[in-house]
Amino acid sequence: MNDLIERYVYDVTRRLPENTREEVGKELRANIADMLPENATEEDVMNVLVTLGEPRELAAGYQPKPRYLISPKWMDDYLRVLKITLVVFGAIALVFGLIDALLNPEATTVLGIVAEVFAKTISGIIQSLFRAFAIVTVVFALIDNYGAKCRKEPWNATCLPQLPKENVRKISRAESIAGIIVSTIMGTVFAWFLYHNQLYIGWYEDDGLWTLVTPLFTDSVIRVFFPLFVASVVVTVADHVIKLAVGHWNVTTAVSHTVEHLFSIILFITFAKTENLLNANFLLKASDYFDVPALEIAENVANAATGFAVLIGIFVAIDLIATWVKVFKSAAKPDKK
Amino acid sequence: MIDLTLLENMKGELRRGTQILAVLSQLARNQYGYSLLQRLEEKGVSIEAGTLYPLLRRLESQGLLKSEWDTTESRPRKYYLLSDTGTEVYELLKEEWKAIVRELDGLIEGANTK
Repeated sequence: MNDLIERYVYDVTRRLPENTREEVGKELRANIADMLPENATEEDVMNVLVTLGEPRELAAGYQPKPRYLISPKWMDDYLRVLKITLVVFGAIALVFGLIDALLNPEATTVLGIVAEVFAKTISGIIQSLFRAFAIVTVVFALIDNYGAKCRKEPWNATCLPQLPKENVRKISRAESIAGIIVSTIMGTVFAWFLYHNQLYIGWYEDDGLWTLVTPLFTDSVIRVFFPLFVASVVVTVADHVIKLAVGHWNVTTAVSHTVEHLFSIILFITFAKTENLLNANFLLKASDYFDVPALEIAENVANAATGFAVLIGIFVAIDLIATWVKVFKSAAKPDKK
Repeated sequence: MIDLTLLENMKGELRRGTQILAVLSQLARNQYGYSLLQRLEEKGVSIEAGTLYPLLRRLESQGLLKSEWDTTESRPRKYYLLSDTGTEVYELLKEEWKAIVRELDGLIEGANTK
């Protein structure tokens, strides 16, 4: 029966600061003894302990004021920042996880590679999300604990944020998030095929197994372009992240949008117009097959590429002009009062 | 339908604010934890033991109460008593309480008249 009391006292005092444990324990024992009748039974002890309540709650009562890791007044900001950070960290982990797993596969079969890439990427994302959670939580706990104490001036009305402009054009969050995901996945798949182009992209012959006879591209040319394509994917993802964070069209998002579009289009045009992009053997194969001189095929391909590039160039130009017109229009309009 | 848990929470909230005043009011003469609990109960003010004991200690660390262990009896007891600051604070809180009663009575009784 004394055992129960001791266990109770221990369970309360172990949650208290070390220098108060002995004193609180002594007082608690005295109080419990007072609450017990003469010749108390074990049942009496149990009843008294139940009256005193859960040790956790009793111990919390001894704290001078409620303690929080993140106090309620910071909770909204914390959750908002946490959401954005988790999305960004998740996306980054997805990109780098996929690239890393695809570039250095250990498995040798296609199914094995798929499983490996999947598992590695998922575990990378989970690790990254935990890291993001930890960083945001620690930063907010520090701000909450020390930030408020360091703030010199008390709050006043000039600290209020500006009202969001009513005439701004919003960028849909769903669109930005979808953009991050789609460009990550497509970009990674594209980068993987480009990296392994000599193995997968080329002239296949139907000998029952569809073996690759000659690759489409000249490998040395692709080697030069590969880092640029990866950079382009990163720029595209970054553009979507910026749009997600800002949430509407302004100079920042418009610049990001422009940089991303120009980078992509210039890269594409340069790529398409590169000399010796197409493998000489591939051209010979095609020339045999279609019974057209190899030079003529090369010329036709180059013309098609030019046409395509011009078409995309026009679309990009229209899109960029529309974007900047939007931005300047909403900047020119005075704020509604 | 009245939400009973909500009502209980509101009642608890209302009473919680009066606990310190209730405790201070009884400590012009020294009391140990359990005797204070009983004294309050006799007067119809019920406060849970698990709330009272930590509260006494907090008030002591805030300097409103002073304490002393009595080891002359068969078992040791910790006695609490108002300190000088505690007496002052008690007087001020008492005035505040009377003001609250006046104000709220004014509101409640005046609620039905125009």
